[in-house]
Amino acid sequence: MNAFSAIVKKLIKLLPAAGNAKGPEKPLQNNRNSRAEDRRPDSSDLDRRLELVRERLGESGDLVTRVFTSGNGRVRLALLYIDGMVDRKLLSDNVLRPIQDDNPLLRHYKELRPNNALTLIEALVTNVSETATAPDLTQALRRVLSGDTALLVDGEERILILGTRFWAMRAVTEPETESAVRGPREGFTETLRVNTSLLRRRIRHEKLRLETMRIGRRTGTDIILAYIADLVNPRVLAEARQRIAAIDTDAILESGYIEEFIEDSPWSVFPQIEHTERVDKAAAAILEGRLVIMTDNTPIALIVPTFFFQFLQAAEDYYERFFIGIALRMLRLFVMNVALILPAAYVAVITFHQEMLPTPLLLSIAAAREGVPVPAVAEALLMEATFEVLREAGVRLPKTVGQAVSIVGGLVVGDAAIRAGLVSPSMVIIVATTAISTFAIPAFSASISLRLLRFPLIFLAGMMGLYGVIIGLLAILIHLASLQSFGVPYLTPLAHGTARDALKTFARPPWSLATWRPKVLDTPDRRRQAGNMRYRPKPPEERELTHEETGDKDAGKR
Amino acid sequence: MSKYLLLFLAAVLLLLTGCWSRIEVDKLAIVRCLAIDYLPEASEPYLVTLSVARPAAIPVGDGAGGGGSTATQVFSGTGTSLDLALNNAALSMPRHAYFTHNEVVLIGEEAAKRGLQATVDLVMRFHQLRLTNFLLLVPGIAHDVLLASGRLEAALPQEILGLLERARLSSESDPLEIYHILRQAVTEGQEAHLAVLRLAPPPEQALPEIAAEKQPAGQGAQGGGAGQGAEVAPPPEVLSVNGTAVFRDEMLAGFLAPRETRGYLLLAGRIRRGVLSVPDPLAPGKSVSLGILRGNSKITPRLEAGRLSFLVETELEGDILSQESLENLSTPEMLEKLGTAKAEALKEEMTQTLRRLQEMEADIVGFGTILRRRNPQAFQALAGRWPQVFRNLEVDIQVQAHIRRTGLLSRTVPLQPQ
Repeated sequence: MNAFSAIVKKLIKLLPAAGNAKGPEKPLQNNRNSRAEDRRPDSSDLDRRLELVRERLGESGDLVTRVFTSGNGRVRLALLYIDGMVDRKLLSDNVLRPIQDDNPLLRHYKELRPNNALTLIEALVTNVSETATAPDLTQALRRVLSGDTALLVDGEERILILGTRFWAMRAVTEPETESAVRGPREGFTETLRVNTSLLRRRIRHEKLRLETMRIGRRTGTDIILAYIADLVNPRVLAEARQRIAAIDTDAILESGYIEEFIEDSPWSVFPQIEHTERVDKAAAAILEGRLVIMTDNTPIALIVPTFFFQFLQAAEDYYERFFIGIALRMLRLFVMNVALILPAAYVAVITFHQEMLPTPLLLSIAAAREGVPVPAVAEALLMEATFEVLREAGVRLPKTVGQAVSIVGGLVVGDAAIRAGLVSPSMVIIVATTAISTFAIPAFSASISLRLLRFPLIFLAGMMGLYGVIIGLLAILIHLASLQSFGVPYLTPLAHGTARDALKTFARPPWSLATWRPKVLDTPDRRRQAGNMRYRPKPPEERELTHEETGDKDAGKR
Repeated sequence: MSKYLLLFLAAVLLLLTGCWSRIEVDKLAIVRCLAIDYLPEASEPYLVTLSVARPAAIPVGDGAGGGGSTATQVFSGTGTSLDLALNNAALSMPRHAYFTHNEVVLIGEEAAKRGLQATVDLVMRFHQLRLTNFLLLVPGIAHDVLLASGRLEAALPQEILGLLERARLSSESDPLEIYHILRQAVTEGQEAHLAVLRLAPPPEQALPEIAAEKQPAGQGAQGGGAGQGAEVAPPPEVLSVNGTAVFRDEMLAGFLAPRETRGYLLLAGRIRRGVLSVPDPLAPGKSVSLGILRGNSKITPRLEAGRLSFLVETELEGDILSQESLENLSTPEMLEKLGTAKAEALKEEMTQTLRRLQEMEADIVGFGTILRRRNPQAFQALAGRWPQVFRNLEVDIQVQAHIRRTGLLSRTVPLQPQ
């Protein structure tokens, strides 16, 4: 017994939750305002400074230093930029040329000296629209690495930063993972600035805030918190800021990194932060009082706080007629249950509770299973696993090859397996229905969680029948109920909040009745629009009478 | 730490049950019909026969399956008790006997004569058998019925179920589920009855002229080389559900003919559909067919000066189905006349049934129950000798029949211009 408990203790120590709590405090500081770097050697002497730059950045092929002299020959300057990230034409036309201009009539030709060069150039000479001054080399270099250009002046401590960012970028295209029949076709791109402009174009309100943070010690990735100042719940905002600021890692290559760092329960299979590629969806979230976290270099934005049932909603619900919205939401709720339970319930019923089936159905299932060599549980697990393999193979392959996979996998293997009597046709129907159901869930992240949970449920069903399925479902429900997303219960608004909000889980209200924002989000301004403003025809005395009402027989002839 | 250990152990505990009670569908013998017989001469008198579905006979898709021909297979076992016989029948199968999909329980005449008690006890006690099963009586040996083959349905149990469903529309039998029969049997002042399922030659072969005519014709076809088998098959017997087995004190007391069964249903107020023909009031020698659509009966006990009698008021609705004469029968007077004729005819049926039941001293209509509800003291006084009281019971039957419709014709169309 002692040895056994020792093994269990060891196992528990391996559990990350237990280990993390007592882990050493991280000594690393966030590098944004790190004082240690401020004190790195710097010099106002141009040549020394360029040497320092070469020392720090090394011999990189794309680092360009262009040393030149002003038109009047009094000042030595240098441009420092990364090739490929700057607009070279802008640089040569609007920076280099005016400074080198030797027209004696020009004011700066007369006045330019090392001591006033920086202010004069910024004020008069360049026509670059965005400029800034960096106090030291460290800060200047950071801007240079983001695509700006540094103008170094010999003998000047400060460095002029010119906003010359320009690089090859993907155009704004239709979001591939979240396409819609009706609705805008624009999706986010990899360039943060483009994304913010897409948001701004949708929300032209002075209170729209795009708060920038930079994280990733080596990638220095820009993160933008987008929200409307008087809609967002200040507690959620503060929490989000704090959680993002606490991230101290080398690299942020995708918003998924951030998602995992800031979500409440990283050990849950359920995604607690919704993400989207759709600009309209992000805008709608912001207008609902949520917070959108955009990350540079990825088109995927995060939305917090997130409720579980958001994953079952699509932007289109709000664009189509609301009856359709209602029907689709009901359908997705149903489909979610099918995707999670169907194979498990089937296995449970045909291996434990045959009395629950109508006789003709039982007979045809029995006929279908006649001669199948494996038990139903194994059959289900096998088929589900095969399907997952097929899906995974299809996702990673180029489109042209993908078709071949689906034909060979789905048609050939499926059909042959039935003909060979290895699997029963009814199981193929169940697995196929389940597969289609998972694809009907709008959010891939949610559907993949459900897909994962299906396997333990099938296992439980094969072992304990419906009793096992119920145990599994209860465990899932208890887990879901214990989750939170930024302080908001995950099962909101069904398990928490007002009845009006709960109803929205099943039906999206017609716009004329959607007067209030969700109460659970606790937005400072709850009212979304004026009260019931459905169109109503004017009473007869206020409206122009039709010819039928006036009795004018000739009305049509005129 | 011990918390985690406990959780872990609790989770493991769930797995310790293994796959208890798990059984694959393809290891099940799905019993669809159960027949109980009693053979007085045998050493093991109980004979239980199971009709089991053969899933392999059901074609699946276009490739696999479809092997074999019969959709059901019969297994039987004998024993000194009902349960032993059932066990032996179950053990003679290569698969696990599974009774939850059983739908019909047949009981042979001999077994019924020994009483329903053992059968009902088994059905109620065994968790797989359900009280929604139909319980039917078979004159003779019930085992033989299960050897017959379905005519339209591939599986015999399916055929029987279909017949039962149709039987409700003819009002010539009264198939009941076991819980109805139980309720009747345990009710004070009422006796149980079962519908009768019988195996008989088809009606056309029952007539000697046709049977004689058919025999050479069949042989002629065979001689013509139509590709038939070498032997002449014996005339196939067909299943039919009609008539009623009447029980008294859970023992078989006698049978009611199909017509008498309709009389019983009229008395009990549970009449469904039916057809009868009455003489045409305008054209002597010709007849009119009338349909019964629905009916209702009200039974009232009367106790006048210590003399008990019952009043049965029956109200019927129906329509004209066909007529042989050319007369116009759709006038209100004629319809009323027809109604009266119909009432008379049905009253006769009811009286006849009642007389038979009184002879058997089996009150399956439940006059006693009605008295008990209306006048408990009076019934209590008679309870001990109710069958004898019932035998001499005076019952006043009043029937009112209305002809509501005449079909698509108001009066018939003469085919010969007059």
